[in-house]
This record gives sequence, structure tokens and C-alpha cells, in this order.
Amino acid sequence: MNVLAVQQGTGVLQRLNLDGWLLVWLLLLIAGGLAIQFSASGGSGAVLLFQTSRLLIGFGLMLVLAQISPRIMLRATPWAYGAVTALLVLVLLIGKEGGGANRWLDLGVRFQPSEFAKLAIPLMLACFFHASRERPDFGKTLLALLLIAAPVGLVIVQPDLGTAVVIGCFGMIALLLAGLKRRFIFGGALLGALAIPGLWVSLRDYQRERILNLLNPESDPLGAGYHIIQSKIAIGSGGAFGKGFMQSSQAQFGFLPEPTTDFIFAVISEEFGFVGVVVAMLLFIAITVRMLQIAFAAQWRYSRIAAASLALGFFFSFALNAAMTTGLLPVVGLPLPLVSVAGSANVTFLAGFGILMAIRSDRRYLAR
Amino acid sequence: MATRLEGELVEPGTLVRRAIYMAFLLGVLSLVLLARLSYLQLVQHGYYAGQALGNRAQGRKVPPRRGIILDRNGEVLAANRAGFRLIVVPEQVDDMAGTLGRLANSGILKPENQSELVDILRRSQPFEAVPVRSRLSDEIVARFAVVRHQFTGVDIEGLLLRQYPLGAAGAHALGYVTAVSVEDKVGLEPERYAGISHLGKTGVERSYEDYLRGSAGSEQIVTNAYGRPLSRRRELEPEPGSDLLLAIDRNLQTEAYAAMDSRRGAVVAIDPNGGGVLALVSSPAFDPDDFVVGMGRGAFAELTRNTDRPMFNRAVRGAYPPGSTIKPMLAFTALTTGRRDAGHTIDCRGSFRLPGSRRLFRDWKREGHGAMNLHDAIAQSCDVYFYQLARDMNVEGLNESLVQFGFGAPTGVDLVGEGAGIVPSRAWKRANFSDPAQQPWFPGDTVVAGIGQGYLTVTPLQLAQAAAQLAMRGKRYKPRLVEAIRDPASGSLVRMPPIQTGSLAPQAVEHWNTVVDSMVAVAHGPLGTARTTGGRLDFRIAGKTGTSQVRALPQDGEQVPEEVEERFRDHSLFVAFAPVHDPVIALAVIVENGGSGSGAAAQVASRLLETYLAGNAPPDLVARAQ
Repeated sequence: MNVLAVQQGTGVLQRLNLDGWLLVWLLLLIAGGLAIQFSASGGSGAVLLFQTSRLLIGFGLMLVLAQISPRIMLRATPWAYGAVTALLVLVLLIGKEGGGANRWLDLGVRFQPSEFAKLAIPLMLACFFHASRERPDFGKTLLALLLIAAPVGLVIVQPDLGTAVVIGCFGMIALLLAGLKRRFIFGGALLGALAIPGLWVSLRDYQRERILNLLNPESDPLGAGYHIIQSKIAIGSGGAFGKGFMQSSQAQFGFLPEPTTDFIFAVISEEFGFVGVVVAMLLFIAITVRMLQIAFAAQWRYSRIAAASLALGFFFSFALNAAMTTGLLPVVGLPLPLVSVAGSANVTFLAGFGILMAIRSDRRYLAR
Repeated sequence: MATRLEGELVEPGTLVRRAIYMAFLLGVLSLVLLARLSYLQLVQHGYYAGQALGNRAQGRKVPPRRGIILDRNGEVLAANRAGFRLIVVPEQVDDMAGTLGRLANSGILKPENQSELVDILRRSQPFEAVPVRSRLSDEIVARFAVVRHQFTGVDIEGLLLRQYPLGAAGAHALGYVTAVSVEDKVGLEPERYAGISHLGKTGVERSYEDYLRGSAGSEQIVTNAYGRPLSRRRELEPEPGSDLLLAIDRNLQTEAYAAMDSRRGAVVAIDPNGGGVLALVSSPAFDPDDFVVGMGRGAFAELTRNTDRPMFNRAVRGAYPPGSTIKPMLAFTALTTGRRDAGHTIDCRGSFRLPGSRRLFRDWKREGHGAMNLHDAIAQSCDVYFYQLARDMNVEGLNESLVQFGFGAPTGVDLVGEGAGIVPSRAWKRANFSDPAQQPWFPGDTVVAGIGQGYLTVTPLQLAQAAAQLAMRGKRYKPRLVEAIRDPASGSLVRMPPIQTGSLAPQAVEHWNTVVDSMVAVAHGPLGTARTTGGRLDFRIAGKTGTSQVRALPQDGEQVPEEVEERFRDHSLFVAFAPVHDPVIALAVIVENGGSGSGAAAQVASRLLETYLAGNAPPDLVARAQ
């Protein structure tokens, strides 16, 4: 049995196991992202260099992963999951402070292991449910929830609520795709609703403050509400067609906080207006649709769950960041995929695309 | 068909269905997002565009340059000096106490009063820069420049500050400016004072405020989020205020204040030919520069509590019994009305008694002056002569005379808050006394008025005006400090023409000569009351001494100045003009509790006349005066 995916085409893309459409959309998004970074950082070469280097690492990883057969991945998944969980434990032990929380590991390069969980959790669930022929019963569901809960719990105690919610959602998406029984879905939703008061109590003060601030950011215009007010000003002042490239006064003059990371979406909105963000949104939709196509075409259970989870998780990440930037959700500091300056996140997303491409190239399991 | 492999699809439909459900939910989320974006970017665009502009561009008023004040020779009396002040925008400072502490540690702020400062800053208008220290030295400006990057919301601002080179000497003539306070703003048109930091409070600064102020310009400043200006664009140039050219002679003004030597009193010198005020001094005074930057509450309280009342403008608001200084005026009226002729002689025996009254009116010279005609009565300041004259003129006659010389009404000088003095009459006494026993006008009231005592009070400015009228032989001009207003842009002058307010018996040349001659004799005659002073001068002046009682002394018992408490000693007065023909200066000097008029006041007056004539009279004029 050939270890590598079967190469059927003769073009360069086929030989490299790359999906043409996905690659085109990704390159467009990344090119646009780098341009907006250049503007948001005030023409800083250092920011651009950092971002480019991380994206190149991600691309390299994507190319490598695209060559690996999903069957190898299936076998490697538990190890990868274990490794990521171990790294998360390590973060708690020797992590670096960053913004009041222990999120970073410095092993020669600084990285954020919680980002890797965005890949590890759905893959682990895909692996877990790969062999199941029925919808997961109570025991399996519970085990799956534990697989999600372990890394999520480790991230919560860092504390990094935003990332914990996102990786938890990645896991839940995979669980739903694996055929979680309806009564568990509704039961869980009910339990979740009941748990909200308890959750509220367990939140840290600054997290609660952020949520309260969403409801009325003007209540503290120079304190906690400042971020979101300035972000809305940036977006709103962009208007229909934007102020033009490099013309974001909110970012250039320092009013918009975190313009290269959490609030890069506001910079896009300010410089390219409504038209610009709609184009950006369409790019994210195009990427997601292509990923779902690949997922649906895959014939292997592991591949389908993994690919569909990553597709939905990718768009979910985008939507979450956009919703926070526009003031629809509390700001918890999440990157805009492939656009924000966020090394670990971008490398992880690109690695995910590598896995998608490997799945697509796994012709042997494609039906029809 | 290949064998069924591990992981082969069991429920292909479930996953697709579930994925599509979730994609649908995400689609709904995207639509919400789209709605939100169109609300922010399309519906609310105008609002947020304004907010973004407001973020970085702030409209700011540009203060105009306040008009400067110059003396008659172009010497500067009030100027604007570029200064720096430290400002704080409280909203941009996270930790106010800490910031102020660090500023103090860097030697930029004084370490004391920190908590008071924090309080003031907390109560300030939102987003308004609050000046926390004015008049920064170059050293402090340099020191701040080094650490500026460490302070958000703290900056140094350049501005023009008023400066008064004369200091206290000019305080009551020029007045001063103070920072516009919130209280001031209530009474002012807010638009006109937007961007104006100071306004004139007293003196010329106040009465010519509308000319001096100018109007503010405006500019847009683009700042970054830390409040640092990135660029500025002028929208409207500020219009500088007009400059004032005063009649004041800087040397004379300074000399007058110095001559007063911190004694209580006032000096007013007038150019009789036109009414220009050459010097206007009230002593003691205060340093007007202190008001420009603002003084502490303690220092201000001290100024107002001071029993010498340095804030009180004695020159225009003081009310003094004129004493014998009014004798020449009364004598002139007596001559023109035929009540006396120059040859009429009386025998002065040192006191005067009204028929049927036991009350004795003493002459200042106990043994009496002997035979006195009008000329000698003025030169030697014989009281008995004027007791008699007053009785003969009666209160109505006295009043007519005094009003003709400008007493009892404000002169109309271009200063705010001028006093009118009191020329008492029967009606006045009825209206101003509540005790019915005091209300009638008694014959004795008339008698003491004849030597400028009793209810009669005058301001030093009125006295100087009357002296000028004597000098001009009846012609009276409204006193004025400002002679011309200069447009700062074109440099063109608008001169204020002299305003003649009186012309008293110009045809009575002989009577004028009689009175003026007697005034010359005051200073230069063998028995003139100011002969000591006059004898030292190398030119001739016309003058009149005055000694006014602060309170009535006991009928019997001698007044011994050394034994009388200082504040109950007589006021010393002197009026004079020079040269005797073609006079260029007339003045009035009052030294409170200075004793006899021939002493303190005459000395001040002669020193000033010397100063002024040495500098201003053409040589032939001085020669002619001799």
C-alpha cells in the first residue's frame, strides 16, 4: 500500500497534492492580510517580516502535511493530541506571561500551544469516532467530552477564556458532526443554559467587566469600553468605500488599540469600507465552502469529520473575531485567521489546510 | 468492490446534514454581521466619521496678542512676554497623583500642594487643559523636554503673558489683567472670550479692555491618541488688540511712586492744556505682575487685609477734605462775584467767632496773621480771612464756586470706579443725616467749609483737575489717560481729541492774575507757606498748601503732632502748576497723615515738578518760568 496519497494528475498542483481553488483563495487572503498589516503597523517592516516568516512556516507545514496519507494521520492523531496536551501542561509550569496570563512557551521559539489545540481536538475526535458505526452512546459521548475538556480546561486556567471557547467549539463541532444524539444536544443546551449563572460567578473580574462593557461600552469610554468604542469609530468612519490604503487615522494615530492583532478587522473596515469587508467576508466564505466540498467528497469517516470540523471552525473563528470587533460580542482577544499577527494561530490554520489538501488528494477513498 | 475498510462510512447523510445545519447557523451569523456592518458603515457613517475626526482633529482657539500700553514718549508700560506653562489634560492621565509626584521628582513641579492640585484637576472641565504651573523657567522647560515622553496628558504650552515694567508704580493707573475665571465667564459674552486667557480688571486695562483684547483666531490641531499635536491648520487668524498710547510720562510716574515712599496717599499730575494725565499714583500699591499668573489665596488675603489698603485706588476713589488747597478757587469766585476785592483787608487775630456763638474757629497760626488782604491770605493761608469769606458767601456761594472748579462730580476720567467727592449743601445734609438734630445746616458748617474742612471731600484727581483749571485760567479739560489708540496692523493712530468741560470767566484776567500771583507767593513769597520748598527750586511755580484735619480736635488744648497717633495726624496736601505762564503740568499731592501741607506734600510736589520740567519743558520755558 502506498503510504503517500495517490497522485493522479500531472500538473504541478496535482503532483504537490495541492487544491487549486483553496490555494488561490488562501493566497488572496494572505496577500490582502499582509497589505493591511503593512498599513495597520504604520509601515513597519518588522511586523511584516514577522508575519511573513510565520506564514512561510505555515505554508511549509501545509506542503508537508498535504503529502501525508490520512491513514498515517489517523494513527498519528492520538500522539499529536497527547503532545499538545502535554505542551499545555508545560505552559502552566514554565509559561511566559503575556497580557496577564500564562499563554506562551519559549522553547527556542515563542509559541502558544493553545492554538495547536484547534487542530488537535477535532482530529482527536475524528480519530475517536472513526471506527464507530453507530451514533455515539452516552459512554462514548462522555469520553469525547473528556477529550475536549482536558485541553479546554488547561487553557481556561491560563487563563485564556477566548481561546478556550474557540477550541471548545472546534471540539463540539466535531462531536456534532460525528452524529451526537439529539437528546444529548438538547440536554446539553439545557444544562448549559442552567450553568450560565454558575459560569458568571466563576468568571474573573476583568472577564465580567468585558461582558458588561459590551452592553454599554460608553459607560467607561476611557477605560474598558475604550477598545470597542474606538473600533466602532474605525469601522463606522470607513463608510461604504473606506478611507483608502494606509489612510486609517484610527490606527495610524494610535486611537485604535491592537490594530495588528485583535482589531485588524476594524482596520480593513476603515481603509476599504463596507465594500472591502464584504470582499474579505466573501474570501472567508469561499475558503470555507471549498473546505466543506472537500469534506463532503471524502469517503473516509476520519477525513470527513476532520475536514468538516476544520472548515466550520475556520469560519467560526473569522465570524467570532468580526463579531467582537463590531461590538456584537465581548472582546476576548481572538485573532482574525491568517490576517492578524498571530504566529501560532496562523501556522495552525495553514497546517489545517495541509491536512484538508491531503484528504482531498486521497483519491483512493473518493467515491464516484 | 473493495473490501469494507475500517472507518468506512456508516452514516454518510448525518455528517453532511449536520455540517449544513451548522454552516446555515454560521450563515445567519454572517448576515447579522453584515447587518451590523451596514449599520455602522452606511447608516451611522456620518456620526462615526465625525467621531474619528474629533479624535484627531481638535478645534482650538488661538489667543490674540493683547494690545500693549505705551507712555507719551513711547516707553513701554505694559507689554506681552512669551512664557511657558505646564498644562495637564486630566482625562489623559491615568494616575494623577503618581504623575504629579513624578513631575515633582523631576523638579518640574513644586512638591507642596500636590493633593490640592489633584483636587483642582479632578474638578476641571472635561478635556480641557488645566495650567498647573505658569512662568516656567528655561531650565524647567528643558528638563521637561527630556522626560516628556514619560508623561501622557502633560505638556508645555507657550503663551503671551502680560508684564508691567513699572511694577507697583503703575499699578493703579494701568490696572492689571487676571486669568479669566469661570465666574467672569458668567457675565461675559462667552463667544468673545473663547480662547482669551486674561482680561483687564482695573485701571486702563479694564476701561480699554474692548480695545486691548483683540479677537481670538481658531485652528484645527491633529493629534495622536496621546494628545501630541501632529499638525495644525489655521482657520482664522487672531486679530491682535489695539495698542494704547497714554499721556502718562513713565519717568514722572515712577518718580511719583518713589517720592511717596510707601506712605499712604496719592499723586495726580495733569497736562493742563488738554487734560492728559501725566502721572497717577496711589500709594502704597501692589505688584500687578502677581495678578497675571495668579497669586495664592493667602497672598491675596494679605493684600486685602493690609490696613494701608494697597488695592484701593486713592487717586480716583479717595475722599479727602481738601483743606486750604481750595482757598485760591474760593478767592477767585469771591473776586468775580464782587464779594471781595483784592484790596480788602481784615485783621487776623488768630480766631473767628460767629455772632452770638461761643464756638471759636481757630487760625492755624495761634497769634494771628495781622492785617491780611486776599493775596496775603492765600500766600500765608490765613484761615480767619476765609472763615469770614465763607460766612459772607454762604453755603450756596461756596457750592457754586466749588462746582465751577469741578468738585462734587466725577471728572469723567477714563478709569472705572471714579469717586465724586462731596460738596455739601443744605439738601445734602438733610438727606444724609438720620438724626433730626444734625439735619439742619448750621452757620458753623459754612465757616469750616471755607478752609476745606467739615463735610467737604474731594478726590486727588479732582484736586489736580482744579489745579489745572487754575493754571489754564478757567479752561478745564476732562482728564484722560489714553491719548491715542494705535491699530497694530496698519500702525495708524486714532487720537482722542481733548474734551473741554469748562471755561470759567476767561475775561476776568485781572482776577486770575491776582489769584495766580498769590499762589506764586505761596512758594516764593517771603512769608509763603511753601517758601522753604519754593526757595529750593530754580524755577517759579504756583502752588497752594493744605493741611486737613482727620478729625475735629478739642476746642481747647494744643495739637501736638508727635503726641497724636499717627493715623490721626493731619493729611498733608499740595496743589501746584508750572511754569506759571504757559503751564505744562498741574498736580495734586496728598500724603495721608503727613502733617502740614508745607511739609511732606510740598516736597513730593516740588520733586516731581523738577523732574518733569527738566525732562519736558523746552529750555526757554524753564527760563521764562524763572
